[in-house]
Amino acid sequence: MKYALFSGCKSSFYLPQYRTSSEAVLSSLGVELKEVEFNCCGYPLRPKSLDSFLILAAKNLAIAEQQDLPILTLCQCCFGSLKHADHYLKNNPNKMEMIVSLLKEEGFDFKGTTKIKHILTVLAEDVGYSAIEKQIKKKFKGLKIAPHYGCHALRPSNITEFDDNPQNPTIFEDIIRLTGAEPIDWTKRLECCGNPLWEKNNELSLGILQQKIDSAKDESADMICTACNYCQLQFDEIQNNELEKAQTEQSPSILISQLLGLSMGLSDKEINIESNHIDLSGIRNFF
Amino acid sequence: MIFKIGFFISFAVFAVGMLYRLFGFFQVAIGPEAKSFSFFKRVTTFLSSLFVVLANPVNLFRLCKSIILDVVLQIQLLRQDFLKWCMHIFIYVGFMGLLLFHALEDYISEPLFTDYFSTINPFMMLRNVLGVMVILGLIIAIQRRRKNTGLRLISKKPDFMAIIVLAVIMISGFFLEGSKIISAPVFDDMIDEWGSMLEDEEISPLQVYWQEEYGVVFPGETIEVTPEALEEGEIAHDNNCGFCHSKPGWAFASYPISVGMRPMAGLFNAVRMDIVLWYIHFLSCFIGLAYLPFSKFLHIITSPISILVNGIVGQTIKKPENRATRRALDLQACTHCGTCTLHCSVAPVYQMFSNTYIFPSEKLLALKERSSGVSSSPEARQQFSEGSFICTNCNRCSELCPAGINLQDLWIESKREIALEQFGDPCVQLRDTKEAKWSRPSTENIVIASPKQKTDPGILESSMQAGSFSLCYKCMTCTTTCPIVGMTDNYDSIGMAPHQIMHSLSLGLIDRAMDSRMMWDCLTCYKCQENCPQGVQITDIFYEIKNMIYEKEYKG
Repeated sequence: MKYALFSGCKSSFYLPQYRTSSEAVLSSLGVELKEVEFNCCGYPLRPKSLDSFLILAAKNLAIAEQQDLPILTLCQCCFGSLKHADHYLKNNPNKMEMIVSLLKEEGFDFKGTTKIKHILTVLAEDVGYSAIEKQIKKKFKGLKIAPHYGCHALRPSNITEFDDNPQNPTIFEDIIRLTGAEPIDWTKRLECCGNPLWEKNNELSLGILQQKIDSAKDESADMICTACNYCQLQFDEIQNNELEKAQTEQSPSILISQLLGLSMGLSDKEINIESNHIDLSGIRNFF
Repeated sequence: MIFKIGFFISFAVFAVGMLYRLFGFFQVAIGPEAKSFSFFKRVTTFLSSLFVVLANPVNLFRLCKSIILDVVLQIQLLRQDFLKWCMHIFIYVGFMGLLLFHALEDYISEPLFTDYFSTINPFMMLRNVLGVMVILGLIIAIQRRRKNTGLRLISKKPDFMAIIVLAVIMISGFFLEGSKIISAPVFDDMIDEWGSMLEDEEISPLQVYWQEEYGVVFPGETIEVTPEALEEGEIAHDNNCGFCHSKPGWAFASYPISVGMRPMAGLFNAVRMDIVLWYIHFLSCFIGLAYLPFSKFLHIITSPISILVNGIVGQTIKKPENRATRRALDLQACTHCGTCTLHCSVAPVYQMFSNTYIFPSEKLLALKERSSGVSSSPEARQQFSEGSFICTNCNRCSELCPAGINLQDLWIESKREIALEQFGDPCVQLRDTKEAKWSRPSTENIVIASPKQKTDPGILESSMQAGSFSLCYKCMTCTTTCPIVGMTDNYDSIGMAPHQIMHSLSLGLIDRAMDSRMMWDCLTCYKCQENCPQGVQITDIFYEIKNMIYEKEYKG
């Protein structure tokens, strides 16, 4: 299994731990990742210009196509964005023609054959639960986790094809269960984290975040688990810096790769939970 | 005399320019916070931190490592682009070698090498080696800027000016050496100066020998070449000239030039071409020196500093005063090499927006110009803002910058600064204009919307299902599932709820939809679209409308 790693713009500076922990987990599971210089997925440009969104996304697809590798994204917004552009171009021959000719100028012979996967779908579908289970060294006991699905991977389901049942997906829970942790059901499970409005309308963004945290707390979750750059930034850094709550009122957030990594017995350096803004060191007490 | 005056003038300009720059490092303020620190505060904070940093042996180790690997060997550049590394190493080794051992020969070469003469080997040949290295580097530089589409787009006058100044210095140097090789007047001057031991009858054979073996051309004189004269000339040469002069062929670049000059030797010797070229060579060097603080040559001084700062502390400077100082230094450390732009994560957007401020190198240039007092029009500021807010802060430019510039910090602070000037995030600007449109006094009568002509579904032609809004039967599922609607008590605060927006579209009131703040407060979570029983592509239609607003109201 070999993929071109699409870690997303936010991962290098704001969230390096997602990348390092994912690389460590995936390599232990026999997944080979190739370092490829992609550009922005196009998601931030969608409100401004469809064409800009398409050229950015399509160039990534073309780069992966040239390498003959499927894309593995860590961020769900990147995943959704690439899937959307792929779907769009396949259904709009005129735009496809425009994009193909622009990419040709840069030396790409774009056909649109690239497969796009998110780390969760790679884990569930390509690696498989039994292969993951074999690598689990320690199981958590009594750790309650609120899985946060992330909108752009889940919806629109006809385009993202993320989970067979978009109204009641199970892929995230199934993976969490492998670590011995208990995934809880919570009312705001499939809702937005609020980050798309961060720095655009902070009041609304934080309001949405607060609702999510309250909902997770209501079901006595010990922490939230994410699989997206933006969601993790929202639940970790922004919750910590902006909501200014006492530690007991916070709901820490762990990345799925960090959760798996801990359970697989990977080194602290690889999992890098020290980089998280909200202290997560207590998680080891659940082993 | 001219030499001295020229040197002092250019050195004075250089010194004043450098002082101005040095002052600027602690004065130029990028970012709202930076403006609150005084010059004095920044200088003292810098000095105290410098002391703390250098007192730590770990940092001293990092400093040495960084000097060798990053400054001298340019490992960062080598990893990225071999050709570019060659270009830079050629120019940099060649130029520094010539500067130290040739231009400053009185102070470096002579004390260092007891038998130093500029006209004997290995010095004569090495000077040619260094000069050719610079020329090769310049050729690569020009070719890169011409051939690479990305670089061609951003290359500007100062980039070519630097190449031209260096090229004039190098080429005039080679031609100067060439013109001296063929010059009879130079030969005569040398005889006058050094030939006191020569007998008069030895001069003629010496001319024969120098014509045949050293390429001097004696126009208008009949030099009779006989084996005897050559032999006599060689003896005279060995006794008087040989220990200071290697064969001119060793100057492997200048010698062929001198051969090419031979047919014109009469004219060249008459006008003393060697003196003309000497002036050109020195004046161009002086111009280069005076121009240094105001050109990209400044990077010779600033880039090593920023590389070392980056090597020691990376992007982790804590004190805001020092971050401000680093930003000011970083602006001057940029060589406009284009690495950031060539690797920029959002650069392809340029193909759609034709705004060069999308490119990091051009944003930096704009910040640099602004910091030196060049004022910019509101239109230019808006363009800069558009480019700035397309940047995703992915940090790749900072990771790759061969000059070690912390571009990320520049972008974060310049965005904060421009947002305070009413040129913030375009999406926020647009949302704010909508806010004004919807805040109406509560006493005002409610306007009953009446249908205009039917909205042409084609107007939303790029949406997934262009006319899908017309399938809406106002069941309000979208509105009841919308988390933003869930956050508000009345629809007025968001303009209109999603079902109302779909309804206005069916009524042909697309302007009404465009004025709704909901567009910009939408989380794009796709819950409405996913749950719509009629398959209306609500979120995608929102995107479509936002694109229209952006095009019409922001760009137009």
